[in-house]
Amino acid sequence: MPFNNQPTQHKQVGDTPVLVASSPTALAVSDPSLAGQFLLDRQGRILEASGKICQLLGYDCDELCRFDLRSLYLDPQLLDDAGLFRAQRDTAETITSLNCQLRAKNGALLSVRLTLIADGGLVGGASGDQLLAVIHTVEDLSLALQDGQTLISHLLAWSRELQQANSYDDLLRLIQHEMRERVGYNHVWVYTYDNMYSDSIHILSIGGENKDMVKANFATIPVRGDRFLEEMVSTEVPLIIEDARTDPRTNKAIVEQLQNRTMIMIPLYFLGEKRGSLGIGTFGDAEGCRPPGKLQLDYIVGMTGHISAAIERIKFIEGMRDNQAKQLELEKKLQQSQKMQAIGQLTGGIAHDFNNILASILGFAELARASMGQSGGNAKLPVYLDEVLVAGRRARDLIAQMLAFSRGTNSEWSMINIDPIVSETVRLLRSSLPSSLELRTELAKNLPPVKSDIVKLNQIIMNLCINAKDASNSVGTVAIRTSRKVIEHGSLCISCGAPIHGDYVTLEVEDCGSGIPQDILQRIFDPFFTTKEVGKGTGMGLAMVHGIVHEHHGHILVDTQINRGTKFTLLFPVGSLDSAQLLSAKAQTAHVASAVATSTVLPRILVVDDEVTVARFLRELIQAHGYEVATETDSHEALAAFQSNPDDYQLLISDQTMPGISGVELCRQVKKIKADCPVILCTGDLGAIPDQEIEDIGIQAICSKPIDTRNLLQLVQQLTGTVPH
Amino acid sequence: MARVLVIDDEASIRLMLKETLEQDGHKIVEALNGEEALKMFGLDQFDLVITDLVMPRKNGIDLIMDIKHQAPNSRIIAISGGGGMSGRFDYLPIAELVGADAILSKPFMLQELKDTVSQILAPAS
Ligand SMILES: Nc1ncnc2c1ncn2[C@@H]1O[C@H](COP(=O)(O)OP(=O)(O)OP(=O)(O)O)[C@@H](O)[C@H]1O
Ligand SMILES: [Mg+2]
Repeated sequence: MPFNNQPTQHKQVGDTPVLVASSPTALAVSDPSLAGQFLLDRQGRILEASGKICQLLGYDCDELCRFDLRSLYLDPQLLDDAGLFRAQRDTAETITSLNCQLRAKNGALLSVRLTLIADGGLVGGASGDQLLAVIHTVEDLSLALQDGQTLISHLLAWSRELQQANSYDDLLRLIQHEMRERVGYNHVWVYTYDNMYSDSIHILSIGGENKDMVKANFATIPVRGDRFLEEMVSTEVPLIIEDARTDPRTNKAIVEQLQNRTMIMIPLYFLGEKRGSLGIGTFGDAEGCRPPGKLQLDYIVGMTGHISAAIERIKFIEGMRDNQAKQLELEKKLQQSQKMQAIGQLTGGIAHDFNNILASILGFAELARASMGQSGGNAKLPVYLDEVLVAGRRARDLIAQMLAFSRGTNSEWSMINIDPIVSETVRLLRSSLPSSLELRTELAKNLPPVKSDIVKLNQIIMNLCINAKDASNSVGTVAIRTSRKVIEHGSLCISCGAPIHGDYVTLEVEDCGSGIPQDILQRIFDPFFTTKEVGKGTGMGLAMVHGIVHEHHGHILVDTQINRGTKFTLLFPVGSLDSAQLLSAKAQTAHVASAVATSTVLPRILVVDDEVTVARFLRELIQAHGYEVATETDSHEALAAFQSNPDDYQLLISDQTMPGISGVELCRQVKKIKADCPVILCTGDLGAIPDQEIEDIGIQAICSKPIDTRNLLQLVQQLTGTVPH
Repeated sequence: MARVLVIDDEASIRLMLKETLEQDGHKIVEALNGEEALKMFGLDQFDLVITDLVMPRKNGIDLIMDIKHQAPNSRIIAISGGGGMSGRFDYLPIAELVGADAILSKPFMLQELKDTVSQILAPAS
């Protein structure tokens, strides 16, 4: 460092040589970061100011002389804490170096390092009461952070800011700001990966002007085959590429595209595990190659510890948010299915009343309409009455739909191959749909059977095809496909929200129609939700599809694209050993057993149902076919009756839902008393009793309600091994 | 011209049935429920019984079974709004099983009713 001829003295402050001139005004400035100096009195008032500092602060040097240093200082307390101004005049030299910010005339802040020197004897021209403040501007951390204490305090302050970050975006902003302001790099980014051997890494987010370009091109990046990334993922120390254009490890095509220059990759560790890398770099010729100095690197590495912790914390927060969202979604679906259930129950309860009311409305409207003709009268009256009739009939149709929804009349579950039912239904539909709409079936062949009800299967295919027709304005193609799919995990049922996995027979109905807007997608399965005009749709179609598919223990997926089309995929679980198969197997054994016992007297059957009418009706029905029937309406009494004379009964037919002992329990008890007594359980809720339980107890047959009497008689006949009269 | 016993707990339905069937010249006797109907059935002769199914004090199914026990040849039409008492059975098919000659679900068109009635009465007249 060249000096002038003035008497000068070198003092070593930290690593930086400080020039102390005997006369401040005569100070020669050769260090570009040296900004000037102040001569201060012991109270901190500026006595003299010199050098470009005056210009930097926007004052005349004379002007500055009226100031107290503390009034320029951002944090006067810091200055006082340095104890400088309290020092005694006879104290030996005191040198303190401070990093701080001075306020310029226009309010801007100037980062400087102040070196305060108090030594009457040394500071030429200055009495022992005076201090010399040598000022360096600080642009580079390598200058600013010579003081380990300061470095730590900055890092701590910054880490406290990081704790406020609740999202990755917040975090990136804070990292970017710190990197720009304190370290001097404009671009930062973060890669995350699961472990050192992962095949791809994710860009969490990215700062700097190249943000959009980088994000668009490399949202998820494969690691294998890229030397730079491979090294980055596996190294445990910072990876520094001074010039990406010449370094052999970089992918030159990407470097060319992004204009990388210097790249610094620092591993991010959390709890001893490597979780990602912090990237810092320069781009383009304007920034050029700028490898970091040792202090810069130290500071950056200091930052990464806090960054790793912040990433883990945000990951946790985002996970919670995710879970909360999922929870909410689930609750919504639950409410939805409860709503459907409620409608089912409501319908059963009110349909009867509504139909009675409608019978009156329609009946009297008809009577009035008919008597109009005779009495003449106002010509408009028949028109009005016709409107009443039309409206009344619409209400009637709606209730019929709701009833069909709440419980399919005549449900008959059996193991069936859905292919023939699909082709049959489509054949039926074809005649009632316009010929401009092509119905194309693609059936899988050799599908495993599913436990299903033909009528209900019919209904859902019809509903989906009619929706497809409406959505495509009766033109184009509707594809109806069947297949078998094993679904591992991942997908959620669109209408019930449950995760789907297992072996399924699928039924797809795909149209090239309008598609379903995202905001209504969640509502299409709601009962009464329709976008069709009044009188065109009741909004019960998909609600019914939802109900039926889930009765099958199945699920629904929907793919839809606006103006492209919609694909509904129904998934039916491939049947396991269930009550239907159980029935035929057990019925056969029962048949053999009773054939041996050949009796001319038809067996005696115990019918248990808490509802008198039903019990009586079943008795009439079964008696009419020659059997002897005893009825009980109290399940406890039924059990007692059976217990006292087990050999009197050859078959038990029991309702499931009864006060006292439930049907399942009654069957269990009866089986304990007489293991070979066949039992038939009647229930309106097929899914409520697990197949396993049915099998364990040994229940031979489940009869679903509403009871199909022919089916019931057939069962009675099979299980008792008799031919009814 | 037939004597018809009409059973429904709802007055407006009874009135509607009465008005309609009287147009065809039938004679209508009304009862409010199964119990009352059974009493009247014992006291009088009817060509046809038209009964609702869901009623207090002896429902239609019980009534049909009782009537068929007493007079196996009586002709019965069951009408119902569906739904069943506990929602577990659809009562119309049961009515048919226990002996109703025809069933009609409410609401129905009056012409349907007239046609059904004349169909049921046809062999006798
Ligand atoms: N394939 C489809 N493409 C586009 N939108 C559809 C499709 N299927 C259903 N939707 C939308 O979902 C709504 C609800 O369908 P849903 O079948 O439940 O009732 P609907 O067809 O309106 O009336 P309904 O079937 O009772 O006559 C429809 O109104 C329509 O907006
Ligand atoms: Mg529909």
